[in-house]
Amino acid sequence: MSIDEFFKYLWTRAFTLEISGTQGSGRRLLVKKIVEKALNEGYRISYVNVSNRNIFPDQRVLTVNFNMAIGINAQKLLELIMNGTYDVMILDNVPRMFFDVELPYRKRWGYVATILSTCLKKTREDKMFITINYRGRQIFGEKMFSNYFTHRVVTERNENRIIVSMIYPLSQKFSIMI
Amino acid sequence: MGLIVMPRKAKAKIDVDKMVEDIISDSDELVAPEIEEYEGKSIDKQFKLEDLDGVGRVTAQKLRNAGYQTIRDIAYASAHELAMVIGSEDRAFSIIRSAQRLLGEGEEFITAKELFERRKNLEYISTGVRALDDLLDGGVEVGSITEFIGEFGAGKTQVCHQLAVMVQLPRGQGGLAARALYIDTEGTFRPERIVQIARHRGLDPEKTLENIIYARAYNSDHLISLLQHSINVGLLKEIGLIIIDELTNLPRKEFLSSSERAEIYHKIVKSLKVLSRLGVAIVSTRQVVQLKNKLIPAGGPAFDSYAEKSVFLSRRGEMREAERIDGEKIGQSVVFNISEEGVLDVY
Repeated sequence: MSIDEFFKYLWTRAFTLEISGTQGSGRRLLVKKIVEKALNEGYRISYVNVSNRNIFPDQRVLTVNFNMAIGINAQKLLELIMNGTYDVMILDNVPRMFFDVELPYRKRWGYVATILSTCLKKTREDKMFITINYRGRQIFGEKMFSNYFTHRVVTERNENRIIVSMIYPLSQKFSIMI
Repeated sequence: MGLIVMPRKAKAKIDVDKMVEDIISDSDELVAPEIEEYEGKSIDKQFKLEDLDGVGRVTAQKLRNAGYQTIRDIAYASAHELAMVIGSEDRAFSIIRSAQRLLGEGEEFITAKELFERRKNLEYISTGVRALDDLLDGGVEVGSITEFIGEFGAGKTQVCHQLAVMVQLPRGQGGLAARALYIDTEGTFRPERIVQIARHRGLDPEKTLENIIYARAYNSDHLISLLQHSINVGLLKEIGLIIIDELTNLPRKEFLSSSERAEIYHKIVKSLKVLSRLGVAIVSTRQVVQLKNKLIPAGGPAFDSYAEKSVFLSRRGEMREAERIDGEKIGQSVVFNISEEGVLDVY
């Protein structure tokens, strides 16, 4: 599979894509490639920055920053997903949404699941979501969250290339240059 | 034109609690202890608790009795813990937002122009290595977290020693003319190295040592306590750089369960974020773990993307290699040397 074929495959209908990988594996690089494509197609992009990595200085991408020191305002994030003006929303990232939200431990799992299930629900309105996640020995929240994604890919660094492995719904691989 | 995303006015009231409860009510996998939330110590004395919307004399007294002395204590509190004092989570939330507004901390929405203006005034601490400064876009940035990741002997501690000296240099020479706070979790801090580096940089070794405030953390709770105490006003006024060498070592020794470790990591991350918001540079280091023949940063998801800049250090023969593993510069690397004089350029 080439990256163009991946785009074509992804864009057949609304989706919730999970991109997981270790730190430095090129997750956001793949996001940028997808966003470039989406911008060319005229989609409105919203980047929800819960991490400390604002990757879109691009004025065409609307950025919402959450302050990690204060924590995530759960209400605000859900409202953005439910009522915001966007076609494609990038959620960066799952561990930070989990750890930085001001809720007790048990509720945090439920909170992130709520966010992701809301995203899945919004695909019925043709909204598209790209969610960045962490993958160490396993993908963060694998048991809880995996069902909320229509597409899942894993990124790995190999020298100056990013190897992108689609693990759901197809098993395919392609690579992109750094 | 501002780069602002504002949600359209909510069509319906969203009840997060109910949505969350609906989703977790059937799950048996989620049994875990409640989290003890971070309690920050305030440095802000401009406002009184009574200045907050919805806080009268009686509520203010309740809050003080519970240990919330200042606006900043409230701004960094969670609605959950504050609700235990004043009874209602909604009210707690509105008081917290009021505190955040007063401190100017709740401004998630800013225009790109504002961001650009803010970034123009950023200050940097030089690492003393030109190549490394370039890799870091100018050096270690004040008000943000820079992390160095690598295995034993990769040069993390050496970079930390060097930065503890560099911050003391005058502004024109790459420093901030400020002191450093050095929190050591592995017992690897060596004052002799500071003396060597200070001499090479033309600083008085004794004064340089005096300007480094050192603390050894003996366990995770002690580390968190040290980080929280670092917020102390008097200390911060003179400190330009806080170094924590290393972050994951203590929790990994003390906690077998990954969820317990993750909770401790989260508290550490949150303390560091609060510190970085107070206008100091934060430098932290992390060990690596092996995953399928690859070395990845220790600490797992709790540390994912917590630092603004991440640099992976490794040995390359006699030299050391530093590689950015974040953002635009992902994959870019430089080499440097470690010698008696400290961390130096190769050329």
